[in-house]
Amino acid sequence: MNEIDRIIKAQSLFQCLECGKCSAACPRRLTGKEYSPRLLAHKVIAEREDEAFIENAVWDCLSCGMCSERCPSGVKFSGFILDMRTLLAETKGLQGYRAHDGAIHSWMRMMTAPELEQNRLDWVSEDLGVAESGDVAFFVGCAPYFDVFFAGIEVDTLSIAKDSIRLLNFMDIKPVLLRDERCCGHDLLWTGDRENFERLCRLNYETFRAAGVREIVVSCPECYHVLSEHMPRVIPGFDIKITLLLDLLQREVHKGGKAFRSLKRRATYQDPCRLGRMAGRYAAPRELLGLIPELRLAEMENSGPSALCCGNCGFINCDAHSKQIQVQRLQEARATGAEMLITACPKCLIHLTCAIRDRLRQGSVKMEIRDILSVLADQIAWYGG
Amino acid sequence: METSADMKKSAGKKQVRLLGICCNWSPFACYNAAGMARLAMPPDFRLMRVMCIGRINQALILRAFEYGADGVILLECLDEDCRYGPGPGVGHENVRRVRKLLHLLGIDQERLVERSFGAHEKDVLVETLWRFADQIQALGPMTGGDALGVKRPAL
Amino acid sequence: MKRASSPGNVKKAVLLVGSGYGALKVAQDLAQSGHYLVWVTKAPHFLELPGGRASFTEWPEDLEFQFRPLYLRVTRHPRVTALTHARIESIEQGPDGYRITAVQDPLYVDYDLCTGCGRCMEVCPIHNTTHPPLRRTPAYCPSRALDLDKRKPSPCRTACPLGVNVQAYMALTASSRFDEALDVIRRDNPLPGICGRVCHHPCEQSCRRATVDEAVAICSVKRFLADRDLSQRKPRFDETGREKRPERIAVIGAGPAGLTAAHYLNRAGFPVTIFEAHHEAGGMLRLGINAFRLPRAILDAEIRAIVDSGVEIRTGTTVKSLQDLFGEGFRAVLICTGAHRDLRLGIPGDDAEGVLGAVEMLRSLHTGKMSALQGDVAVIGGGNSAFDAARAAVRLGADSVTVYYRRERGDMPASLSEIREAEQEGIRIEFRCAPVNISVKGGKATGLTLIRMKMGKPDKSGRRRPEPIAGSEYSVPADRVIAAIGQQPHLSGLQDHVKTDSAGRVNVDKKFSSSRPGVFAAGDVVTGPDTVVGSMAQGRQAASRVSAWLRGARISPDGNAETHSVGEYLDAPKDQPKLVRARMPLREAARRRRDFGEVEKGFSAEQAVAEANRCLQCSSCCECRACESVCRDIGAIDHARASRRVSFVSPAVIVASEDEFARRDMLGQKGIYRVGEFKSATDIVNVLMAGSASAGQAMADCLSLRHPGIPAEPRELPDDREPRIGVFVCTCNGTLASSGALDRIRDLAARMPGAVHSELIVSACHPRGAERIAAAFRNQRLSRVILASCVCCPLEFQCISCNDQRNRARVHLFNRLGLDRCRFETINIRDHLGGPEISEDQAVANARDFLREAFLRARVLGPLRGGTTKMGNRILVLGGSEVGLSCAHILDLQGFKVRLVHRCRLKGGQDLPEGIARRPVTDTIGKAITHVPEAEIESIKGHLGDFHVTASEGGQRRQWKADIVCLTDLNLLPLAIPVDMFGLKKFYRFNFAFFNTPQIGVFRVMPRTLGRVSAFQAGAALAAHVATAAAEAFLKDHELSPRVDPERCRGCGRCVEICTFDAVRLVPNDRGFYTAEVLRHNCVGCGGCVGRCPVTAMDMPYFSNRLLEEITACTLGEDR
Repeated sequence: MNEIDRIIKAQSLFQCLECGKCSAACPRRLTGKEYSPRLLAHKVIAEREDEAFIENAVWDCLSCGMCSERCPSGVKFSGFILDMRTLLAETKGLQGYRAHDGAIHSWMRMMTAPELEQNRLDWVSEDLGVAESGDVAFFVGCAPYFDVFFAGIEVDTLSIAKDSIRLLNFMDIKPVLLRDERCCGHDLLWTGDRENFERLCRLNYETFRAAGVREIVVSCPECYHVLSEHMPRVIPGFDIKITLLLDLLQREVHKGGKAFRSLKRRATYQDPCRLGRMAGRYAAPRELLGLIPELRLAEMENSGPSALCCGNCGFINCDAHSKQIQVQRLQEARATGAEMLITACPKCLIHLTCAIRDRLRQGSVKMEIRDILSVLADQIAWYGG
Repeated sequence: METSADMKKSAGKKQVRLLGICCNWSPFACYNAAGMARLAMPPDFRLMRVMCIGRINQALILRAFEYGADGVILLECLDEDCRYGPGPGVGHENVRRVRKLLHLLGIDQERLVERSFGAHEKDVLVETLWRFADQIQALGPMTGGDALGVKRPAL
Repeated sequence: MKRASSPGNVKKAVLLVGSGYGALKVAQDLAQSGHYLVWVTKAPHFLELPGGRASFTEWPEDLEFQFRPLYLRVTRHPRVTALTHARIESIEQGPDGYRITAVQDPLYVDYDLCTGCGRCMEVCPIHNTTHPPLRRTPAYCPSRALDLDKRKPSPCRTACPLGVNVQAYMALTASSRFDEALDVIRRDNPLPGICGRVCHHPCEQSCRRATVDEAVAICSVKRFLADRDLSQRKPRFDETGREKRPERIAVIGAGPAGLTAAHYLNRAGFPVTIFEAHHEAGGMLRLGINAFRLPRAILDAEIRAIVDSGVEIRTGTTVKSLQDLFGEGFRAVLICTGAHRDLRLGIPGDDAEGVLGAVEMLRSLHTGKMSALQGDVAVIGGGNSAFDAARAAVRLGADSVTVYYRRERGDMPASLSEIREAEQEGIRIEFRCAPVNISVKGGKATGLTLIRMKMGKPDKSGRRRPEPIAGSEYSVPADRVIAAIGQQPHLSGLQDHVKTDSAGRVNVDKKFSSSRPGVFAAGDVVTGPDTVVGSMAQGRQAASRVSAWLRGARISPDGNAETHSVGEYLDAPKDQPKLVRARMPLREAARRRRDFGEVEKGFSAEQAVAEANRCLQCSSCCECRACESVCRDIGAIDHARASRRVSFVSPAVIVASEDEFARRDMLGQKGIYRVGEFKSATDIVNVLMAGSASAGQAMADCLSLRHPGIPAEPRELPDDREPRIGVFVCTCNGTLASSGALDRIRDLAARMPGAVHSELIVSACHPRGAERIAAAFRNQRLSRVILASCVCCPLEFQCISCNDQRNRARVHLFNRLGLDRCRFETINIRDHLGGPEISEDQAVANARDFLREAFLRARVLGPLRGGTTKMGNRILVLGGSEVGLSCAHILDLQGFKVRLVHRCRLKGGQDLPEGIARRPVTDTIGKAITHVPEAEIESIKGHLGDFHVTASEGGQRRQWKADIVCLTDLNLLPLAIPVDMFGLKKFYRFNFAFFNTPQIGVFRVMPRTLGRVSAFQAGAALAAHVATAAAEAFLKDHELSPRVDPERCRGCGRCVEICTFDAVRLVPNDRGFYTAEVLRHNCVGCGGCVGRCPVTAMDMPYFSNRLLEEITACTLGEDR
């Protein structure tokens, strides 16, 4: 049976009614790009000979999941894109133009070298409580790398990792940090480089086992998306508990004994697609932010399940349309009257910060962007503390 | 091809792969002059010419390592000689950043170096290349010589 | 320097005299602004500094490299006729300008063809001497062509009646290349072994070595070469390239003249028959010269060589009637019967028995009629034949032999060695005596009466005339009296067929033609008794006349091409060590006098080489022509090349080095400009400025000469999924690698995927090489070409590592033959394949790496930027200082539409300098200039070809359009994008165009240059530069300038930040943010912006993102 047919079946593309809700909501389409999930579905099913169209479209997708969200008949469109990319990459080679000329993918691939002995933990300072061994490990992710690479646009992803550890410490958890942890492989996976992605999974799993940890706490939604959903499919009998830091916080805060210092700001919250639409975490972040006194949280025009994507995913096909989405998103944020945009994903942080640098728009889109964990870490305190 | 195989054998120990990224102006003039003077270059040294080192970005350098270089050297003009102005500055910045990334990856930062030359310094260039080759030879091929064992997807 | 390839026969062009950087700048400005130019310098290349390099104060070590692009652009510019080794022959003022004739000395190495492969230097026998004749132009000159130093022909060569190239065979012998040396001799002398023994070698008399110690023993070296050859094989002549002629020729007499004539006629392709009365060939060589001087084996061998090469000799045949010969079918007859009849003494008793002539005596000896000789022998005379007779007599057993001579020892015509050896053999010589009577008894001579002579006044021969001393008679016993006082011709029956003189000599005109058509004569029969080499020379000249006569042609080439060399001999170095001349080893006298065995033993190889090394190589290049033989395929070297004459008319003359301009008196005149005062020029920038200034002034006179160029159409690459790739490997005249390696490389390339053609070419920078490529390109329908040579890139611009050969190859392929460069990928394997010492396998392996990369590049090749923009001629000059005025004036004279704003201010800017503020505005200058007295300039917008200048004039707002804007007052400089232009190196960026601002098209006076030259000159220079930008009428995009994909560009502005040339700007888009846009006019193609773009929305030709990635992959890939 033809591979594409298999994918269509697996992602139940046949259920498509060609209603076009997906295209109507698709942020790519929103910016006037010649792109339509509905048409893609149609072509793949009915006009498969139009390879050029299909290939372009497959790589153009942001995989933000809005389409699947809107689909009345349960087409797993994101899954379809993922499978198609994997297939095309294997048969026709990687495509889609890489942001930053592929530097990021490059180092991610380099991490597939088994012999690698990274120095990824130099930043861990005395004040951070970490353990040599234990049950719980904290998955740092690519923060140290981004910290170097994006120094140019003043995004500080490393502080997210530091704040995450502070939060864990605050909850009396001294996480193990894994020196030979690899990139989770999210971007390789979503750019179709399945083989290297699986290598990373296996290497990471070996690392977890070697460290003898049972639970991995993850702060980055993308890492969480991969570790919790895709890794188990790669590693048969995957027996490590993957916990999202926000969930952990929510649980711990409910236990009581912890409170937040007041923060007199107007803010709004950006749902990352991997956290929202793909992991369904809409409430947790809002609830946690809601606990901060005087922090006035305003919702954007498009929020929750219909939140607008940060404009790019997997560092491919970042272009004028991505920029336009970002500008629109930032304008929505400003429209709420917020001074601060809180997001929960380092990628959102990076992409939106990049957009803010725009010279023409600086006036209209400039605003402070912070990661939710940093905000929480700064405000958390002992009850009455 | 058997000949290159013979070469490798004759070279004795595993040959390291060296990539020079070369500005078209002063360093390339040196390289050409050296060639015309029949000065010997280190074995397995390959040159990639660009109009100006300003053309290079972090990705290009990283990729060289990803694709199996054991050492990369940026050959630049002297800061004040750059035909286009910013070239060498960009080179310095890229090297500084990529070296940090290499450190994170646990790759010896000495595998990435940059040097600048005046257009007349062909001997200096050749000497520099040999010193660079020795230095990388001393560090040895990266992880057993087969690059990083990275499976490179088709382009 | 440039020949046919230059703009042919220039009718009207500007004349530029002299070399150096100033001149270079002049040439650049004139050529690039559309003027034809003839550039004349006596220097071997154009960078020789009149002021002398040392005189420059600011001189970064790499400066010379920085001028290479300029040098190549200018010297190969289609409008420039660049002549090195040249001078002005005449220059007169005419109605339409100066009428000029320039002469270029012969270019023995053609600059347009020389590949610089250097093989000629390898084969040059005197390359490793103190003064190698072949030299490369200095390293700082981007031409790798060679320069051949030739002087007037050496004295030994001119002294030789046959014109044998002595210097050449000395040079070759000195480096033990004996065979080649002998070939050089044989070119002009078919009898080297004979001449090596009996020649009177006038070459040695003229040898300049004598001024150091002693003349070189040339003759003995020649003998060594001939003997060595004879001892190894039968002598032979090089038979190549001989045509066949039908006309049969008869030569009468097989002596030196006859043999030589026959030889050269035979070489000229005629069937030749020699008629020899005697039963053996050789004439006087055999009958008149003793075997102990000239062994018969040698004589026979060399005659045999001539016979073997096709000359028929009928011995024992006396020609009685010329008519019969013509009857036999001979078309021409050459009489070379020599002079064999002895002159008689003409004294009483000279008819007695025992009295005979020297030649008669020697003839009977050599024909076996005489075997012994007793008694006392008296020989009369002092020539070689006297001594031949005397020495023969000794050997025949005479009791005593005495030579009687009427003059002094020093007057004797016989060679010194002959006299010396004779005396060693016991022969007495009596000087200053003459025979008066022979006493006879019974019909037999018994004694000889002589009279003493005294020396009187010199006669016409320059020798003092001997006069008898009355009453000084005395007698000596003599059984034999041998008269050796000369011979005369004797035509044995032919004399009635042709006119002869009283002495029996045949009368001929200077074409050797006798009174009878078709009958020629040469040698002693014409001149009377002469030397061997003299007769041979006669024979040879006669031969060329005969063949010319038969061909009905003018003098025919006789293998000795005319040399046009000029110039004085090299001087022997002061410290030249004195060396004794090699001595000829002789057989011991007591022994040799008993037999006819050879006396002189000849040189050993060591002696010969040592002796040849004493040669001073007077005229540098020895014309052995070894270099020509290795350059045959290229044809760059030609020793017979003639000088070249260029005549043209020029409205203006620019003198860059005064010592090259003889007509100092003209210097002040109108239309003649000097490039600064060079002896005092100590600053390179100053010199370049002066160059531009004089170019600007000259332009004013040359309006009629300007020819704007038409741009080439931009070429797009065909979308060929399966490219047909052709590979061409330039062997650089066979020096790239061993022929084995070359073949393997060619086959290797042929096997690579996509290759449909693979070929070795002699040279890619040679017109024929380029034509081969073009032909194959069309015949094989190639879509991509890989050229493996020394060319680094197919691009149009020249960089500082480029050289003339690389540049020339591209000029031939792309400009002359019209192939499109964007289909070419070039790799420099010439310089990077590895030295000659590398093994064949290694060479092939390296080539393989180069080729793999090249094939990859060839597939990824994309179109180059080729757009052009129409340019107008509206020029806006802001500022009324002298700079502005002279700039505006000169531009106006050239027909540009100039608008001159006399007083400019900037809002809130610096105020006007006093001088300008108070100068009254005059609109007298310039016919068509629009004058604006005063204005406040607000802004300059736009780009070259389309500027909008906003200003307020008398409170009224104006907008002026202009193609070019000049800021000529310092107070306006803030209008230009500020960039630090101080410090010479800053000029590198702008190719030494001092007036450029980062905004191309906005030019400005350079504070640095003001004060170095007068304000007027600065204006002229600025005008010249403006003209270079405006004259082309079309503005070409930089071939590498990148494109922006507006769908991708995020308008982040990183590209704008990096660009020094203001070539990228952000324009608002309909999405509500910016999109980057490349200003093609400003872009210089560095690719900095491409590298900075975070989303690869920008890409450039040739160094595209994809290419760089694939190259990295290819050069490092595991499969390597």
